[in-house]
Amino acid sequence: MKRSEKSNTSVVNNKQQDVNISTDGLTTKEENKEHQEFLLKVLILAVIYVLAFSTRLFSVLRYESVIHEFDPYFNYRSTIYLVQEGFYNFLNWFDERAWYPLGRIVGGTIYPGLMATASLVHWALNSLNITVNIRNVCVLLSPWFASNTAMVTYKFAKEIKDTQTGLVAAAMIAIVPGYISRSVAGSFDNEGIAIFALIFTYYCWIKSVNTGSLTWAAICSLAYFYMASAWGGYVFIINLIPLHAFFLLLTGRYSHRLYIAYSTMFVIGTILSMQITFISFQPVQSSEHLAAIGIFGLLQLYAGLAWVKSHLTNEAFKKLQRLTILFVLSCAAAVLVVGTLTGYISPFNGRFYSLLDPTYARDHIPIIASVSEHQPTTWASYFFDLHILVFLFPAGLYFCFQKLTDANIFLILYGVTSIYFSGVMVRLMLVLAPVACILAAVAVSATLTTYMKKLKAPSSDANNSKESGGVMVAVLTVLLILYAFHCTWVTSEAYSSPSIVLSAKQNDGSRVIFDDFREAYRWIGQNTADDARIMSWWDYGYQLSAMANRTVLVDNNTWNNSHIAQVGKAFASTEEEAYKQMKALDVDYALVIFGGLTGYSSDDINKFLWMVRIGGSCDPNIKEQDYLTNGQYRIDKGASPTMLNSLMYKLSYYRFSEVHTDYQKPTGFDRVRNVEIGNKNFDLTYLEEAFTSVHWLVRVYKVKDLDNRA
Amino acid sequence: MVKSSKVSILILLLVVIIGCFCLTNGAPTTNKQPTASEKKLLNDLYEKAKKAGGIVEFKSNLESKKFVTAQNRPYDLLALFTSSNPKYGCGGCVQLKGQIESFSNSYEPYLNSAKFLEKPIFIVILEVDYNMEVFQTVGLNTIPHLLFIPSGSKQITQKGYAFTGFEQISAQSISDFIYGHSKIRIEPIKTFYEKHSAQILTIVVILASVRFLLTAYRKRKNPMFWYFLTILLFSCVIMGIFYDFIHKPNFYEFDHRHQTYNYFSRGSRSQTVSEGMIMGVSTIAITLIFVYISDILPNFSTFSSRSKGLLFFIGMSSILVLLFFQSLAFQIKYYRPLFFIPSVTYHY
Repeated sequence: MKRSEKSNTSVVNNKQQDVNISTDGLTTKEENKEHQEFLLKVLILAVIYVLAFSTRLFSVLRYESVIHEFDPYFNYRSTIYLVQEGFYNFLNWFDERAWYPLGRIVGGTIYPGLMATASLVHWALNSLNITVNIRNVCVLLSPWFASNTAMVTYKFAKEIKDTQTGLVAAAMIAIVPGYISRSVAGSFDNEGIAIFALIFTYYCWIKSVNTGSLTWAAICSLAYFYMASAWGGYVFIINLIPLHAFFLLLTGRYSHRLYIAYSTMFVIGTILSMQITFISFQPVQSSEHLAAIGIFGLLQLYAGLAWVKSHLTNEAFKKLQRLTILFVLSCAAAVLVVGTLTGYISPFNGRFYSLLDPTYARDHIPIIASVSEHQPTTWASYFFDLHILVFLFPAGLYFCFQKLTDANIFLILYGVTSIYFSGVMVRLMLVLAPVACILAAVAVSATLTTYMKKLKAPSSDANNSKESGGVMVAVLTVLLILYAFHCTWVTSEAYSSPSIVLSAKQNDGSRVIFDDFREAYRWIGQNTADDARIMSWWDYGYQLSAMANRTVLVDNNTWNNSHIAQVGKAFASTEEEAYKQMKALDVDYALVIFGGLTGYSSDDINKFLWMVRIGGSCDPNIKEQDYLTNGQYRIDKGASPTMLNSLMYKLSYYRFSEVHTDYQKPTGFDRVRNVEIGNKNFDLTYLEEAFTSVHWLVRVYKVKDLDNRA
Repeated sequence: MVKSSKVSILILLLVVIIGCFCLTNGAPTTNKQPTASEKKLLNDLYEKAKKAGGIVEFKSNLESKKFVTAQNRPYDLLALFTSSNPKYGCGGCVQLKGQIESFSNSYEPYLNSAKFLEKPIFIVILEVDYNMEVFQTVGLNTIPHLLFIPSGSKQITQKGYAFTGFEQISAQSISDFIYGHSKIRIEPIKTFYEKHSAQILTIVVILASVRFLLTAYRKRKNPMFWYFLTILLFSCVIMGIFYDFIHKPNFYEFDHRHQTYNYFSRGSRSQTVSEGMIMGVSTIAITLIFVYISDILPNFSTFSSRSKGLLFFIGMSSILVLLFFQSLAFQIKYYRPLFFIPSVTYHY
């Protein structure tokens, strides 16, 4: 609802621009207008700033200030470490509590930008004597950065077109669902700050190309460094900027401004990005950065030839040109061949291939294809995440094509590449959302400018229809208001559940809260030995180590497939077999997530087939077929005996046959699968129940000690 | 010495391998002599098939028991368990039966060839109404089923022998199914179009791409040409072409229970090809009309102001109609239209 006011104010803003053009009155009057406009602009931006922040607070209001989901828990834990131990200790941090018994070198395998930012904010606030908990800083960092993104987007769109476009773009990006999905309060993840860094880098790039200023190019490389320290998506920047430079060359728009901007940005940016331990020498070795190096060389060559040309006759220059091109091409080919053969230049990795060729992942790398975020996008996701931007996006492209400038070409390239990538992988919708907002803003502001003129023009003008102006402005305003409604609804319904605290709606509309996860993690933290090792499926690894502070075998950083396979195999084996395995892995407790009592559908029984598959990838004795009956996954009486006797089944359904879940249903009725369980009243031999949470969501079992040998 | 022993070992190995080959190839033909009753069974069914023109339909329990559940069947069977009785209301079964019956064109040459008696396979149809007993013996509770029944007296089972993917059944897929189980290749007879469509398509694609490259080169200075290319890419992406490419969804869905065709699938994470195309095309239509009335019409066209106004209102109303349509389509997926006004009372 606030949004609607704002779209109206931006319309008002347009009106004033037009008035400004039409009246050439006294200078004082003009100055007054300028002041007024400035005030209005600041006011609108302030409203957007607050709005972008507050619309992301649904989850904090409904639940409390908690970190969401899985990966953010790792980031949270690392931030605490960073704050307590200092930056250098953080870089050298070897985490012995994860991946038992292997451990993990955390400092060298992460992008530290997020943690560094959070701890910097924490330090700054505390040194101002504003005492804030680290957790609250982490929870609210993403929304705050979203507000900053809106401001940077304003500057970016203003640099590309004009102030009005900037304001509309900022208002749109503040609430676009595609971006909100990764930046609600509590989702303390790399993407939250990376989008800010991304837009800021692009803004600086456009600014430096437009001005040719060394300072802006240097700022651009700093922004790039920040992006590289925060998210693996920095590869997108280091490919898009060379692409832009290349297209400018191709369309005959080469200028010294471009030369200065690109050379500075590339050299400083590359050296800076190599300071990140996780990136190290990749910018000069991996093929993903090859385009940037190539364009750098091409620009030097082009500039050099242009200089030589001014000193030579035409004929001699042509000869020279031919020779140089041949020489350079053969040199580049030789370096490429030798580099690849000696293994010095690494080939493209799988994820990169799967971007260019969508079928590659399906055929070659199941671990990438299995993640639902890496699935190709359906039309419904576009409408859900972009709403009216879906049809305004190509309309904005039209206005860019109509008036090609250096900046517009950049915007077109950004739009086209990101729409392609977003089609390949759902998660890349995040990269598309900002450019969709900017392009839509271009379309909206261009249309409004045209039609506001019609509306303001005197009615005596024969070649003017005032009605059409009114209709167009009204329709656009209504559409923008509906856009705001949709965004708010999506944020509230789809993107604001923390997934660590669950809630369900009752018939009367009130909410029930299931806080079982935190209850169980706290129990583990309080009641087990400090060095206890907990076995669970990898999804819960980060949460366990962050909240229970215990050693885990596998976690969400899925770097070691065979280690995960060990755990999968243990859960898929019989109790006796599993006991041997668990003893070999030094497991003290086993933890399973069970939703049969509450109807929580993403529990371990539903993930069980993945454990079998991954377990089977390292041990051919585990076959998926053994767990199915006639190709169907069942847990009732018709289930296969292997399934009914597997450790996962027993741990999930232990004592479940004593419970009535629904009226008129037998005991042991599973509310997720909607069947009565097949194996009832069994006992455990090698494990004993240690803890089961209130709603049975989390069940913890102690692995018994070995028998005393006689 | 050493050399000669090596050579002899090699020769021995060779002999063993050749022997194995002979055994595996020759064993069944030499060892198994069909008994007189088996021969009679084969001949009876053979005659029946010839008389029926390829595909046999059993009309009584007696018949089907004799041929389908017989001991030591000397032939393979491809059996369709179905019903065209409207009582069961199985539209898919009727279609499937039609498909199998049309396969007889391809099957008949094999039936009449000399090879047939070496590797006999019959295609039979069992209707529920006449063959209830066989249905019960096999343990089928649903229709339709297309099973491959191998020769011998093995228990008939669905597991591993059932044909799946009735939606995309074709002569080729039936032929592949038979080949997969019995190594009998029945070449499906194709029409001219089916046979040469791939080549024709390739030629058309090559011509089109040459033509496209020429146009691209000629129009390379025109930004609007490149704009239409981007629009093309955009519409493909919105249609979910990558999703179609990887998951190969159906063109549309057929609801067996209600006997209706659904162009939109349920569930927000899946889509059919047709719904993607509908939404993609309507989006592009909205965009192009929007571009026309927002920029081209007011700033570049030379119509009179009256026709300008008319065109504006036609364009605007078609945009609104299309948006309304998209809004309803969105509702199928998310149980809420794309454009909606929230109610004021809301429970937190």
